[in-house]
Amino acid sequence: MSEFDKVKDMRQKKYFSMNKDRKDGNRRLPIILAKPERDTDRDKERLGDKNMAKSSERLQSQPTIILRTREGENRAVSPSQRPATVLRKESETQQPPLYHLAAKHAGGDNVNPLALPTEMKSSVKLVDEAFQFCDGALEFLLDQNDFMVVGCLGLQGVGKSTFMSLLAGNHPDEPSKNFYFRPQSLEHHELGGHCTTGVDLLVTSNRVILLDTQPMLSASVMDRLVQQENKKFGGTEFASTENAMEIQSLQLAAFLLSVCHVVIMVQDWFFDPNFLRFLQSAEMLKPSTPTTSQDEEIIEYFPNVLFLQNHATTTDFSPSQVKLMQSVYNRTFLRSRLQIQSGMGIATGNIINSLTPATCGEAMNLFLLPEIGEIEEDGHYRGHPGFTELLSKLRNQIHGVARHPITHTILSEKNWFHYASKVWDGVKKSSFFLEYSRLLP
Amino acid sequence: MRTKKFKLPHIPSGKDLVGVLEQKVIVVSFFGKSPYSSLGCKAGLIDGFPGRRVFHTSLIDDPDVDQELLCDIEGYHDPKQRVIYLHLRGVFDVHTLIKSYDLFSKELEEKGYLSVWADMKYRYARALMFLFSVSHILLISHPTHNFDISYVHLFRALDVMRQKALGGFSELLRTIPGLPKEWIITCRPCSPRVLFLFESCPAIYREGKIDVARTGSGSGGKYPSIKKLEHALEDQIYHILRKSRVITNISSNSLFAIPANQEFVFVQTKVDPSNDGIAHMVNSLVDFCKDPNGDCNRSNEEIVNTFSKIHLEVNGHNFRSFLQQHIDQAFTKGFDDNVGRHTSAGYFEIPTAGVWFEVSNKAYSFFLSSDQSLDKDLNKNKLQQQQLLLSSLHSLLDTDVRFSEGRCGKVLPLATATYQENLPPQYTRDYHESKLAHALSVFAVHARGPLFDQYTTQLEKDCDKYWKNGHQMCEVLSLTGNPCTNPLHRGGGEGAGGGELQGEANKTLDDPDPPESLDRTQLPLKEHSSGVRYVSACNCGRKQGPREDPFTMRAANYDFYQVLGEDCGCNHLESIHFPVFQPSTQDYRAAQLFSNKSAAGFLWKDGGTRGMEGRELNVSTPQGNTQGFSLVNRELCTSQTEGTHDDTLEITEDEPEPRCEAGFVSGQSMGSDIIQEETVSRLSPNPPRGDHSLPDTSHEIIIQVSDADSDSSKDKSLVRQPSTTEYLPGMLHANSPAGLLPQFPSWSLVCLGPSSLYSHNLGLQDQQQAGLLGGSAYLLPWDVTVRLEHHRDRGSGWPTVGDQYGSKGKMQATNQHSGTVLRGRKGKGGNKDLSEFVVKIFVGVEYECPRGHRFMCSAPDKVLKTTGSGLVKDNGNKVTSNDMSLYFPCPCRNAKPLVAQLMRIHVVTPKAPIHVTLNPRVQPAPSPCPVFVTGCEQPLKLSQSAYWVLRLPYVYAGEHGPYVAPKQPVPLNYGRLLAGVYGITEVQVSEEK
Ligand SMILES: [Zn+2]
Ligand SMILES: [Zn+2]
Ligand SMILES: [Zn+2]
Repeated sequence: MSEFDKVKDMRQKKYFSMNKDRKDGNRRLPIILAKPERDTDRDKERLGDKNMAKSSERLQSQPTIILRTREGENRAVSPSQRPATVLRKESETQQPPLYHLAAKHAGGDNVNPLALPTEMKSSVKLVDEAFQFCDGALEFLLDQNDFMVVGCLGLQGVGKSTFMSLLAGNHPDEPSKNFYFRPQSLEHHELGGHCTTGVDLLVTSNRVILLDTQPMLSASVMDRLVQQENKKFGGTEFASTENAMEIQSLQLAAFLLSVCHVVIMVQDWFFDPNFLRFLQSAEMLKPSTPTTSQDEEIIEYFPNVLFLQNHATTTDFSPSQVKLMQSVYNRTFLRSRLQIQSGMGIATGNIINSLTPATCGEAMNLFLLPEIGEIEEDGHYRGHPGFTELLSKLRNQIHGVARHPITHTILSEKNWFHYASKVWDGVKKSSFFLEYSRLLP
Repeated sequence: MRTKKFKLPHIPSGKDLVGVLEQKVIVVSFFGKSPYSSLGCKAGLIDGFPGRRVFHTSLIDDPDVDQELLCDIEGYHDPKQRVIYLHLRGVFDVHTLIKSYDLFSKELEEKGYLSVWADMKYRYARALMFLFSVSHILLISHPTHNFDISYVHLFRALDVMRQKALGGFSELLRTIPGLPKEWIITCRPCSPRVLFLFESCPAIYREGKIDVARTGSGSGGKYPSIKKLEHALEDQIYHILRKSRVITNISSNSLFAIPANQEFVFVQTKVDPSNDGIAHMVNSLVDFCKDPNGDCNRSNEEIVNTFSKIHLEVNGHNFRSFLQQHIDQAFTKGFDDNVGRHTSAGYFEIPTAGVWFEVSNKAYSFFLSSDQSLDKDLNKNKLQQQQLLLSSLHSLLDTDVRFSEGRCGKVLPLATATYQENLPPQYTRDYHESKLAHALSVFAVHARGPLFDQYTTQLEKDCDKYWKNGHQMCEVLSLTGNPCTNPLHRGGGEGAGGGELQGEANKTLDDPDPPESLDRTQLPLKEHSSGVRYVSACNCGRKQGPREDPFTMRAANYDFYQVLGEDCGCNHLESIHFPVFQPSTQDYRAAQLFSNKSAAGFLWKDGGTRGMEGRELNVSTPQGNTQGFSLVNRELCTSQTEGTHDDTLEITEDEPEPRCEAGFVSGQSMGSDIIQEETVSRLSPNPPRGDHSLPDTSHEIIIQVSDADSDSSKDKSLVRQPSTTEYLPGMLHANSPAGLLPQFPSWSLVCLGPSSLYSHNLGLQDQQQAGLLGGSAYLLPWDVTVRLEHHRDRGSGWPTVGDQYGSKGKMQATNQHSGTVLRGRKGKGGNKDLSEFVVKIFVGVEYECPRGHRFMCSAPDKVLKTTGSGLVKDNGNKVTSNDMSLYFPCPCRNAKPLVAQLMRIHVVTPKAPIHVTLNPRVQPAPSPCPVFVTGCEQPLKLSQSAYWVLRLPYVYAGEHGPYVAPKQPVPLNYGRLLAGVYGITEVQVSEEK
């Protein structure tokens, strides 16, 4: 009797939350435990980022380790102290994370977990061209829990790598060969080619793990697949090259949706309905988060998703246009469980005075960036405060967003890496994708 | 000779097109994706050809499309060029797409975007099928400079459909007189050529704006060639389309062809300023203000037609010449896009405009019309074929929904099996729901996509149906709160409410359109049974027997005792009868107490659970029903008594101090006409202080005895005659409507025999009272000092307070049987007929647990327990002067004790010229639960020197339903036998005779 009651209660809880999700399209509540958001942390973060803007030159001081005495805090490492300082929670040393993969530490060498990793000058491969998971990134990861993962998805040539580099700290005026993530060069342009293959990873000194991916549904990638016909690729069992392309893209997207706190959807025009369809297909095909718990609790993770409109025009920055875009995304994602309202966005009221919830409707995760290096003609109207300022505000928003736990256990950076490897494996083995590919026309 | 823009389907009217219809024409169609800012127009690059804009005429255009097709095909016949341009506007144009969102808002909410987009794409694909059937050249416009590979799947779907449609469409074409045979067979004028138009280029190639690109290495020089990109794109597209077999060696077998040795990709390097409307307009104004003469050398037309001007420029890289070479080839050689020399050139027809319009209208009706009246040539059979065709196109494009369908369909039986695993033959709603929850969680883990909800509903429905199809339990609650475990059945009464039948009835009320339910009239007629059995003693307490969990009040409070009483013999003992309904006719019925049935039903249900909240009650007597007033001193008491009552005896505690704190509870029920206050003589209970305990010392109590039957009270009681046609549906309580009586008594009062049956030395023996727990089988001695005083004597005043009536010593002097100590009273104030004596009464307040354990309480919070030497130290003061808890944890178990219920009051009356009276009033749950009474107009008078047993109701039920006994221990004041049960009246002279 009491056991029935328990089950019943559980079901009701579960069921109600599902219902809620369904009915209330505007508030997407995942069935996961969310860490309470701490406003104070966000404020600190904003402050920190201002500092960072000033100290864009790299400090090379002696590493110091500050043990944080306040308990229960969770925030990004204050960027003002980068790159030499790592903040650690005191409680961590007392309670190591219980994640079962934790035993598999980097290379087995007994390095001091507090030791700083090598600073990354450019990205390393996480998933290579042949769709194999790579271990190279592990040496740059720490045994600490205060980090965030930001991924990026987009069609070919929308400016993913450039944006991710800028997010990592490159300045727009720097020569692009210095960029963390290498953007398309002229040769790429002339050949209609792509640059990034698989997934690239970069850890910033304030412990943000950035993931840049190869273009989704890319003709260039597909062309290469066609050219290398006989080489065995990760997805070539999917009947045909065009199906393999679609499925590979879906696998990458599903992977990112499983292991990132924030996934940025970059588009350079408003908007490709097929790309939004693709995104929701990936959400649908994303395998259930692998979990070690034996109970029937469904742990489904859905990340924050930010729509980034690259190359936005002056018209795009008008309240009526932002309102329209927001409404379109909201309606498109009514039945999706991706988190598209997490306090980021151009229309939160903190970015541009004219873009507020009052003028554009309830803010959602939609951000606009104009063309880089747009020449400011004297007296001309732009409708926005310029690329650099917008980028810095966007960076603050991303860093300050509430991070939902990716798994039911707390992950350290290294745990995350092993978890990601497991997810990638699960994605590649999932029968969903095969089933899906059979239904493509 | 200017022709106007037209809209398909279009029937050219002869007069403005003389000669034009005979002209041979090439058909060029535009389609593809466009950003919101271009308002759906992709034909901008050809708009300038005739020297004026045709398709995109205004910057503030807000074009609408057909609401059914979500498409619009505009056309323009350029007679000079001998070209018909077609421009498809549809959901690939974001402007149109967003407008369509309003038409699909419900679907977006219910089915989601994946499903809606597939549906929209299907409509667009229909329009494409049309375009591919009537065009020579098709231009795919795309906002960026990357080939959109989603077209590959779309083309494959279109090709599949083209092959399927051949038969039907060719039949339709046959109805056009004079159409070349080969056209009828191939269903198109030629294997069309597809050209690609990319509307933007990487920044480094951009013209018209100051070069803003970060040139990186700078290797490209000042003007990198866009041709390189175009050729690279051509290679890419060719590879991909070849590999996916969209294009093949033999162009007539394919949906379309691309030229092998001609450019088929054009990348726009000029920026259309109107794409950024606001900046364009504002900044043009700003520039004009800065330098009003800057534009003076531009003609008006040029200013208006800025856009056209750009494209009319003769330049190495321009769209017009790009397109023109294909048009020219069409007019000269036709297209031969076969690869390899072994195949002959495909069919190529340049129709006259007139023929083309005829064909295009047929094609339009075939691919795009859902309106049957549009074409009479389509008979029913054809129409069905067309529908079949279209639905298979829809399904081809509906990958996500089909995936979801496959997934959910695969998991549904699994989840259903999970539900049906290890099910008992019948099970409760709770169990059903827990199993369903389990099945749903299994489903949720493996099911996916837009149909998830639909299948979830299906799973719920299936399980529900399975359960209701013979596996449902009746679940009507018994009057003790247990569900009936029989398979769903009719009959057996309402019990304590609940149950599946009633639940369904309620649902039917709420839901105007209930799901199909099984025919309830086919259910077997059956009594309820919870399977639970209790042990109860009979009315007199001498015999115990098992009892079924009762579902009717009659079974609970009457039938069981009648049956067991027959066995025991106590049915034939002297007893006092309680008032019951006496029918005077055959068709008597239950009184209708509630006009609103549903309200009653609700309350009925509520009654069952109300108790568990255990509300604190601070007052020991219900304020609303009884009027209580404390006496500050005797003087006050006297005056009140004199003022309102004749022949009333006052009871106070005999305290040494003059201040008397004893309360006087009138017991008057304000709302009731049944209890007549003046006929009752009461024993004053406790002071209403909230705590039930009196000082532990044993006190004597003074009782004033009155002549019970004063004239006034008799008059009052005669007022009402109970109904003889309607009975009271519940039990009698203080708020019951006047004049109604229950069909059967819920109480019993029997006399076991002479007082000598009880020996305080021995206690109650097991053969006398079955099942009493050891150490608790005693009654409590209760000494009462009685002073008889007739009212006519009272005028001279009351005795002083200090009178020490019966002392303890004197009480102890009385023997162990009930008896009296009579003694003379010292006269004070004249020769009054006063007599004063102490009587010894034995009382027992008995509880019975569901297992038949019985025990006495010695105080409201204490089980009677003899000392180690077998002596009873307590007396009856506490149990007689306080509210007694109706429910008390049975001492039979320490952990999770069973709840015993106050079931009997034992009274051994003294041999004295008085009657002990009983006036039991029970409030079985906190207010607003009513106070239940016996229905007797006067307190029940017990005969002298006898052993009486009052059996209380087993279940209390008002009009709202039963007050189900709690299953777990509750606060002691949860349900109460209200103080004021015991009273004493003088034996009337007439009686003694
Ligand atoms: Zn039943
Ligand atoms: Zn009996
Ligand atoms: Zn018991």
